[in-house]
Amino acid sequence: MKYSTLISGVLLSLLTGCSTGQWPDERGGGMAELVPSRTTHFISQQEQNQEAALYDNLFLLERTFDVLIEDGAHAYARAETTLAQKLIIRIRREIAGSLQYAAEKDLTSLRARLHRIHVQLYPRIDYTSQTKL
Amino acid sequence: MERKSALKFVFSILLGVLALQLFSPVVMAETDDQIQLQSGFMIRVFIPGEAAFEKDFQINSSGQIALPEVGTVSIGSLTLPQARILITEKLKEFYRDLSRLEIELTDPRLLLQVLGLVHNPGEVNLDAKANIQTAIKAAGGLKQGAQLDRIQLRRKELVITFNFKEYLDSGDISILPTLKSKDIVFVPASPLIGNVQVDFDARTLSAVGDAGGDGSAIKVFGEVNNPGSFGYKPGQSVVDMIMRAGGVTRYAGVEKIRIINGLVPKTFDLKNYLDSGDTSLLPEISPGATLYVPIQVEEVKTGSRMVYVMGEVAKPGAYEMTDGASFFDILANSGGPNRYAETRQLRIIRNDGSILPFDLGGYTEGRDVGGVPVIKPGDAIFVPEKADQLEKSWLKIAPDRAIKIIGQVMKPGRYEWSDEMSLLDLLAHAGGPGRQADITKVQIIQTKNGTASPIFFDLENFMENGGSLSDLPTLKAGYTIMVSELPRDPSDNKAQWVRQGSDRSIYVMGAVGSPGRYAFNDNLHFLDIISAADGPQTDADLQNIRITHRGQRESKVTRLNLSLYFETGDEKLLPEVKPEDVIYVPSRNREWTEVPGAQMVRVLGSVGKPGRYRFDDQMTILDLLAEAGGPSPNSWPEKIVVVNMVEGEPKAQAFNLIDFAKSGDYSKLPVLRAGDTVYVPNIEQSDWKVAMNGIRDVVSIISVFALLGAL
Repeated sequence: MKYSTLISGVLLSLLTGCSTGQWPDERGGGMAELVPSRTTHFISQQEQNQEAALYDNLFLLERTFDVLIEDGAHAYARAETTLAQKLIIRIRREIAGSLQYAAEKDLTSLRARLHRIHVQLYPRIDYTSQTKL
Repeated sequence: MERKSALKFVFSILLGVLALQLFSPVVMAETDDQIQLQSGFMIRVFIPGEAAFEKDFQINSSGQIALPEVGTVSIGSLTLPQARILITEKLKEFYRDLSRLEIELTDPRLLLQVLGLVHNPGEVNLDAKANIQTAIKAAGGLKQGAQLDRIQLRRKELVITFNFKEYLDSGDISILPTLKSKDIVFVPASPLIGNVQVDFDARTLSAVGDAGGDGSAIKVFGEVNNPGSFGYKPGQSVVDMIMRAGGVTRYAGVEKIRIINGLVPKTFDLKNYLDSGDTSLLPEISPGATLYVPIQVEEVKTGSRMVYVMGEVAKPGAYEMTDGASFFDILANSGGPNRYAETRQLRIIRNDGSILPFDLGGYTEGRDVGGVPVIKPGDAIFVPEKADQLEKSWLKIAPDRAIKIIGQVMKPGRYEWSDEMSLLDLLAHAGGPGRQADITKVQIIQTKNGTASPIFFDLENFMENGGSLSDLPTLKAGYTIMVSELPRDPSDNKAQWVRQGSDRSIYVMGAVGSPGRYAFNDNLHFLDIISAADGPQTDADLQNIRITHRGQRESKVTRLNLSLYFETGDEKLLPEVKPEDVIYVPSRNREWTEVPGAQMVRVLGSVGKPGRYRFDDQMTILDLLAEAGGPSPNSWPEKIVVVNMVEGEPKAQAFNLIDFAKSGDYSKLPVLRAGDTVYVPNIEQSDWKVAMNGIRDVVSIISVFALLGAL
């Protein structure tokens, strides 16, 4: 009785190793541009948490980017447009992967890049008097 | 009246009587008696009835006459009475009756010899009153080459030399010696005919002088028609001697005739003498004098009213200025500029030493050249020679009107400069830039006040874009234009391309076909120089090309993603490069320490090829694992760990590759960006493996304790 109790205790302690919490969790988001976690989003309907705010900002910048592409961004600022597209992919992945801080920084970069596209598209406009994107 | 006629009659009778007395035989007989018989005389010896004595007998050269029966009788040097006595005595021996003997002198003659240069030398029989000239004529006359002033008369030991020419000149018969029978007249040969018997032209012989070897002869030579030695005659002047020598030639320098009297040289100006007529200018000629007429040399014409025209005109020289004569009058008188003349650069050299340039060519073309210069006496007009491009001598153009162009032009050299020319004129004159010329930076060395300062001109830009002609640099005579040479190839001899200044170079380094230093200018751009360097190599890291911009206060490095340029074609990606910039094309195989970690994804653990990999935001972890050779057989793909490099965020996340493979749920792919780390654990790290290893260890320990207990 005494040995069997000892052995059972040891084995139980070993079985607990199967469920240890050493490995991080999965977060996904590595292909969020194709498999978005939130396919529909409207600013007015969303609670104002950090992730929602990031999506809102990204949504606005994407629409701006769409306008720029409509105006010929591919023709007049091809390289910036390509880089902006890659940056949007990156931001979307970061938001989906819960990398909010990184997404925030990249949104700032995207905003600046879109501004450069805007400048190249409309070179004669005095941007000092324009509202920042 | 009757009385006068009677006186005339009586006077006539008296004159007739007197004449009869003068020419009577008595007078003649008395005259013959006084004559000394000489060889050649004819003696008549007459004996009535004797036929042998009915002719005249001549005294031979031995002074003898040959009489019949008697033989020779010497009567030479006797008078006629003496000879009569001697002959009578000789005849008495053969003839009894000599009462009617008559001996008389019938023809007194001279028998002498004429030898030397006469046509018929030998004995001549002359009348008793004959003289030297008669004797020479009897001998056939003088032959050519006879020395007339030294004819000799030899009489036994006596030698009389007389000047037959002087007799011929003057007619003074007293110059000739009296002839006697048995005399020898010798006509000597002139030394001029030499020692060889040849036929010669007497006129030519006489032309070279008549003095022969006479020490008193006047030697005339030089620019005279018949130089030679001529006999001295007192009172002859230099002009006489020159005329004797045939006069001067047209090349004679008559102003500098030289005369040596004895040992004293003297110069005689014949022209001045002829101009003035002053006989005091004529020098004396002494026996043995030497007279030399030199060849004419250019005479320096001077004068207060002279104007000089020099250089490339038809007839350069000194011209006498007349009132009202203009520049063109003088130039026309000198024949005008010839085809070698540089009419653009005429110079008026004033009498006071100042120089006045005159552009005759410009004047004839109607340009404003400041009017025609006024020429004054003493001025000189200099028409320089047109400078030929092939002319080797640089002395043709003075430095103050030459401009130099050197370097890469077809015909570098010194060229004559005129201020209406431009740089383009000069380049065209020099044949234009060469094939290797770098006309983007034509260097002009300005010289002023003894210092030189360079300026640069971008001719290529001007040629391509044009501009105002005033943009062309202002050139002046004395400047130097340098057209640099482009480097042919950096791999060429360094000595050729190092001549290019660094301010016109750009440096290309790294993974390109031909790294090195290349000529560059503001008109070229990035792709030009990359192409000139044979483009990027296959291992070039096109995404990380760096351009270092030099020549600025702050450091500036531009990073170029050339791969993105090739992908998008966006020209704005290409940076603006300038001379002195450095382009570095890194290699993808470079040292891993040179690649920043933020640009790479680290793949660790159980994969085929763990290492650092480039990652693009459009890629996923699946691309990365595939690039890294995929999970190895002993890997634990259920727990692939991705560590995101983010500040203040959850940094790690797991990825179950097996679960993804089973479900195909792309939403489970982890976020992966450059700078992150991927770790693929080994199967030994799985929970099951850990548990099983623990059980095995416990069983082993229990087994040991059980064994010990049994013992």
